[in-house]
Amino acid sequence: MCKIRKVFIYIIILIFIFILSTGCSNKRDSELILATGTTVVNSGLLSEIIPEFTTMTGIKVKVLALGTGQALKNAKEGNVDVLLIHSKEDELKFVNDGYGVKRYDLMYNYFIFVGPAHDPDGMKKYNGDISMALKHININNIPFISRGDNSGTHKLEKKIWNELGIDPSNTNYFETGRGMSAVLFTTHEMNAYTISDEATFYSMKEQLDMVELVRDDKKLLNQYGLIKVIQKSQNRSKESQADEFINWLLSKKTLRKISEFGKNKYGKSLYMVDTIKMNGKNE
Amino acid sequence: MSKIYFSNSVVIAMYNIFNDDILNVLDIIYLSLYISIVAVIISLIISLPAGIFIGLFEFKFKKTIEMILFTFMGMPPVVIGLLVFLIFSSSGVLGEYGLIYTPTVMIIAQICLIIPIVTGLIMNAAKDKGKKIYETAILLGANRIQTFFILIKEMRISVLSAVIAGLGRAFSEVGAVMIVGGNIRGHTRVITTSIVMEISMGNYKTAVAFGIILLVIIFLINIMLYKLQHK
Repeated sequence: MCKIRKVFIYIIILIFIFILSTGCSNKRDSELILATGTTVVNSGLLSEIIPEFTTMTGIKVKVLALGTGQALKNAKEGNVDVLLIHSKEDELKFVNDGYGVKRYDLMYNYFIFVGPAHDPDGMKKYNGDISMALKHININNIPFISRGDNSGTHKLEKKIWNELGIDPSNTNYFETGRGMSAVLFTTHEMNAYTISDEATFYSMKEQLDMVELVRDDKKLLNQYGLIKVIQKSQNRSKESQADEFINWLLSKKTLRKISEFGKNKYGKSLYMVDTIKMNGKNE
Repeated sequence: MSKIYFSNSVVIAMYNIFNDDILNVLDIIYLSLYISIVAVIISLIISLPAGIFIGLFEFKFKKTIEMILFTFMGMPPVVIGLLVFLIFSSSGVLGEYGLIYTPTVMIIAQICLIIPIVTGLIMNAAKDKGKKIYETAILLGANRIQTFFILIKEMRISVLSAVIAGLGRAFSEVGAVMIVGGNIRGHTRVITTSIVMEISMGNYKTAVAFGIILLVIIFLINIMLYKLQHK
């Protein structure tokens, strides 16, 4: 009995030491929290370019892969230092409401309409006109997977439905509420169609029996914005680190790196940047 | 102040989810209940004989089987979900049946999760007091099937505890049903996957409201089973 009690006391002491030691070593000054949509993380861009920044400056960047809605919410609550998302209207509203300092255009690519490789419904003929493609999907009740999670991708899809004046919900319209790669897998499994961003689709293409069917429509532009979040608690050191990170991302060298990302692996770049900025006239 | 605001807004969120989209929410609750209860019933049909057999009799690989059982009790649900997904996905062994992203495959994943727990609990009960009941029943001239039902009747407190544990696991499970079900609205969306989705959209209050619904339902089920246990 006495022995058991001793062991018990030791365990409690150990737990206390553990908690205290983790509490002490929690140095937060040299790290930065970047919240971003799932698309940028899924494509592997950030894990490729960020290590260079960390070795250069010693600032660790913690990447939170969240949906656009959750990223904005977290930023409003002050849990995030820098935002990298793709929903321009929300971004501008965020800055106007006084949560962000400034918004920068970082990079862009296009959304694409993708579907099964054998294209059973002949969607290829709608290339260049996403509205007609979605209309065809709706009228003929063709299986379509929607993100359904208020992310940047989902907002674009909703915008097109709104412009068409169509309520998309029918028996073959599936809302999953999950990230882009999960939705692409679901689409692949169900032989359905969906709208994806280029980067996620090409980084997963090998695992999917799918092709891009509709592209080259101005409506499908996918612009990524970078926002420095205002720190409530006057954390000056964090703000300067955030500045350093943003300046580094917008520097010529990094922009060139972003524009070349994926060229070797997928035969085409996954993200494009403003060429004027990249070639010199920065700021 | 902010706490009061939060509790108020959760009430409002609760009101909103029932008011805006009552059919959708009822769908989600119904599917949660349906999947969990069916999974527990099927698990019981397998676990009752298996647990009693392992608990009562000596055989060659008994220790190994017990060890495997205990290992599977601690198996992370996402791993089970992944395995079931790989088996039933269109390129998997059983892919031709087209079951992926349906409630059926969610039930299958749940069964894989519940069986080890229910079997383990029944096995322990059978080890504990099953032997005496078994010998008495045989002595009084009961045949095998009669003995089986006498055992269940006499061990009903343990059996119901196993049911409660199984239902709890099935009902609160999120990783596996998310992977195999896909959280498709109106088809495979359950309470737990809704919570994850609402969090990912930043609707924390709605997520809390769903959490409260989940808690209330588990509480009600437990009251019913508790009454049954102590009858």
